[in-house]
Amino acid sequence: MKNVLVSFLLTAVLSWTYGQTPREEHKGLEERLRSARSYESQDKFLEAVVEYRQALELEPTHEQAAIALARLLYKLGRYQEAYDVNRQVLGVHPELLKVRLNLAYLLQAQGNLQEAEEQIRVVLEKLKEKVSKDDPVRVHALHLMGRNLLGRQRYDEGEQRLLEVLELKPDLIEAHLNLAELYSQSQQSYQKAVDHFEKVLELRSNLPFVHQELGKTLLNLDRTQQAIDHFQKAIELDPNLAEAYFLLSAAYRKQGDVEKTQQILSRFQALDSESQIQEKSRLKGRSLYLEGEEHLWRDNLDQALKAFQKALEVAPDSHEACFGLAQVYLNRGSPLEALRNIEKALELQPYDSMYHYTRAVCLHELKNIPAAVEAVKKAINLNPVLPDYHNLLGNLLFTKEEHREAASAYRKAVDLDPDNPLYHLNLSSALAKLGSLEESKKEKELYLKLLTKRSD
Amino acid sequence: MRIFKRALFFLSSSFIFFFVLAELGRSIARNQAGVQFLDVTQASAIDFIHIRAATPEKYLVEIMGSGCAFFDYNGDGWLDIFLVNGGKVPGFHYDGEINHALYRNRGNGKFQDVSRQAGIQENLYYGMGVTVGDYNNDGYDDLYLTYFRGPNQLYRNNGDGTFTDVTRKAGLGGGGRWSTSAAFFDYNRDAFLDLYVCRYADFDFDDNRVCGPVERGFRIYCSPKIYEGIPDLLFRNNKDGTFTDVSSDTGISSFAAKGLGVVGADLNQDGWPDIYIANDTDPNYLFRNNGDETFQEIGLLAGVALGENGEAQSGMGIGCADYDGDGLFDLAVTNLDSPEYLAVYRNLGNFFFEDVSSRINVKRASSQYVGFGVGFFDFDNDADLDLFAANGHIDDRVHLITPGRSFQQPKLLFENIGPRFEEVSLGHGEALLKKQVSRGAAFADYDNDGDVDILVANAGEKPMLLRNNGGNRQNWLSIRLRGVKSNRNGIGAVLTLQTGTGIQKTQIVGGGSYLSSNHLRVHFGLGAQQKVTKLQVHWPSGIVDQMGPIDSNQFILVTEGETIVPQNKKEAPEAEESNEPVETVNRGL
Repeated sequence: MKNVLVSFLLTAVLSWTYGQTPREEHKGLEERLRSARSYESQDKFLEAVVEYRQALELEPTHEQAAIALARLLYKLGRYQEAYDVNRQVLGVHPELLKVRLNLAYLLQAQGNLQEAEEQIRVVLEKLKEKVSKDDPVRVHALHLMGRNLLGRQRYDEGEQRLLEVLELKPDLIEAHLNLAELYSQSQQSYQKAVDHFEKVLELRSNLPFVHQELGKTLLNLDRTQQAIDHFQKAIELDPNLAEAYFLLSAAYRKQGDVEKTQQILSRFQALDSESQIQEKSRLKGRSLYLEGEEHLWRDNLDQALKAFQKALEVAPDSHEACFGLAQVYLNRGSPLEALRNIEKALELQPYDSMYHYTRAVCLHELKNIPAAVEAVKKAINLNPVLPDYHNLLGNLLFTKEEHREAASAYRKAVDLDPDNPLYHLNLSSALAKLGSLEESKKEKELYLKLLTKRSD
Repeated sequence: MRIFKRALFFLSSSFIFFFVLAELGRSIARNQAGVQFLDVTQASAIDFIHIRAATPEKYLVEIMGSGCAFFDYNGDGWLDIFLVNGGKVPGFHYDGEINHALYRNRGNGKFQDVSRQAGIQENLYYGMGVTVGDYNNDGYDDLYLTYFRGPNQLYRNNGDGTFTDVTRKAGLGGGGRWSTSAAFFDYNRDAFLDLYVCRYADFDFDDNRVCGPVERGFRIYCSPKIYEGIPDLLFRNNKDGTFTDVSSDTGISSFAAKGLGVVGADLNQDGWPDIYIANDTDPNYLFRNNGDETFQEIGLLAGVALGENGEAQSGMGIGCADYDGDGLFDLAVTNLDSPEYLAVYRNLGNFFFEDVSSRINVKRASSQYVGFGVGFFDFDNDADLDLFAANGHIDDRVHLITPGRSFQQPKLLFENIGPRFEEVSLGHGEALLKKQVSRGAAFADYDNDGDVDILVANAGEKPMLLRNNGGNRQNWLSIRLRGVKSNRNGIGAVLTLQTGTGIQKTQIVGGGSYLSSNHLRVHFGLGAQQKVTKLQVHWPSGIVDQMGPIDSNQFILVTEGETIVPQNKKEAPEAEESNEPVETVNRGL
């Protein structure tokens, strides 16, 4: 994909025209955060991301903004972007412990337990002298550490941490759940698991999953009737909980009740088969998409097209396949067809910055500059660390003759990737248009230097 | 009051102290039994190397590994070894031959490669599994080999140290596609062994898919979920050296899944052997034998189709035995690592099973590894069945995807300690901890010293022969069956053994483990018991033989209908002199 878009940018850089300066909105930090939260609560996630980013630009040390943005991005399935937000903030302000903890949380969620542990240790070390034992950040850090250790099969240490957490905060549902899960792994500690599950239900009785897991432990303890009661409660709270039906059937099997076992199993099967089919389609679609990408890298456009089309046949909801088709059509010089496909991809996955960027490229090809600017800005809001995005924005603004803004966009691209000669050349052109000839000359020299270095 | 509290504290802490001491004592006693599994592969002159033909294309077959077998091909009482080799795939450049290997047990701790003399070296396709059975009841065990992309092969044992490929003549030339584990067992109880063949995925080289984080510049092996399963095959023995494909007539072919493991065993004790299949990413099947040459699939109802939360797991190998001594035959199935685990299904009777993996402490340890070969066996002869699993990940780049995980993995040994198991790999030999990409596993007392050894087939490397050192410190009895009205191997026979302390029950099952074949000699650990009070053999023909008392620590042969026990008579012959150099064949690489 990247080679396609970069070659496109190389040609696009030659066709700049002048445009007008965009209007900047000026909101205060609190106002930004308020609107961000409001957008988020209305499920207007893209808008929320924009507001959080603006808030962070206004106050780069604002922990809540950084954490909220990272969490939102993660929620939108944009792990890398979320990670980058935390990393960037910590790069400048390593003392922000909540941000560091959030980073650990993200790392842990991605399975990078080792690095997560290192981050949590830093937090705990810094908090050692400064705060009281029951400081919420410390409790959170201990909790995260407990889960981390369990994930690494260091069960005793993990258990210790979680027990410490509960001493400090006896009503922390998550810690009870983690311990219950741990204790339910071994016959010797089933009763402890039951105690913790029951504690969770005492704190919040409407959690179907907890009823289900408690039932499972009771089943292992041969308290079959009690287990049945909890499975039934779980089903009552969530009638689509396939797993609870399966476990209920296991309980009836244990009671030797063939009829009920059969009856419940048929309900389990009805719920389960649909998800199995979907999962199979998803995996097949993904594999065909990757096959298409490989063909694309090798410039086998016909085979790539076939693979992406097949992927869509197998998994009609595959946004990746739509994205793949858009790339093929862009490479074939059919931007309209590419646009149609990338817009379908965006309908299915609105939070992928690369999709917005690709849409911007299509629109640029179709000479719809204002729409292209909007599209690439969305891409930048989702992921501001990719220099190509800023460079395209610069190109588009240059076309609109908004040279000051274009220069600013190119400057960001240069900052993010100072070794790319193209960005220096573009910046040089924008600066020349602004009359900053000395600076322009300097950038041009850098461009030539880097170009020579590359050809060497 | 304070004094009372202190006293109470003292009492309770003393109790805990003594409890801990007692537990410690038990643990030490267990480890003091000192059973060690020693890697004797090299010392035994086994130089076979499995070739898995890894390529950047990541063909699914490259990761499946192959199987192994213990069997006595020349009837000398010393168990020989058969190792299946992989094969070539497009893009894999290797000029040498990729052959299977038959190693003759010389009885002196050494093996001799006799593949060429025996005439079974040829490997035309990509080898998968092996199963052993005397299909023509001539007293010599025959071999059946399965392949990816090629017809499977039936080798008839000529009884003179050679084999003849009789595949075509026997009517077993079909099958093709992708066969995996196979099992000889007598499903219709006509005294001739029938054959079940598991088949895997509808995959071919030109249908290879791309998987993994290609944006990070590398591929991984695709999940088998993206390929469709294909129906297994069941062949009825026509008693004349030929077989008939009865997959359709029996109802077997109505089910398509990715089969990897098979056991033919009577699970409800109605006398008719049922079939249990471990399917990869599909629900496992339990085919109930209706007794009229048809089967009914009841896996889900029986509770052996899925994992404990209702998810289809990645079934690989199967163990089948009465591990808890309740007289019912239980099942163990190896699967992927977490959230999957080695599933142990306890038989509740009447075709109802319960997943007890968590309760018996097998789940947590096993969920760290990807399991393949598996089996219940009594490694320390303490009169209960322990559990072994051979492990190895399914992706050679797993360390790049999940830091901390590795392609090569250690083996797992679980000791039966009453109602549950304890993972004891650490105390029983460094060889168990050695990380390898293990696949097939077979169990037998190959050195005739009274304890059960293990052969592990590894993917892309040498196998590992694990000699049990010290298991024979406790008493044992080894029994070979000779069917007369039943099939010659006695597959399907149920043996019940009584000593002064209890009863043990076992069944000679068809198949088991992963792509592999155990020797059919039955080994009972007897603990401190010097005598077996009573031994009952319930033959597939319906004949019940009873005998006893029998002295421990001997090999006996029980012939159907003959109740006289050859006491104090070692069946195992004398070993060869060991002072001569052992001829080995250099297999290249």
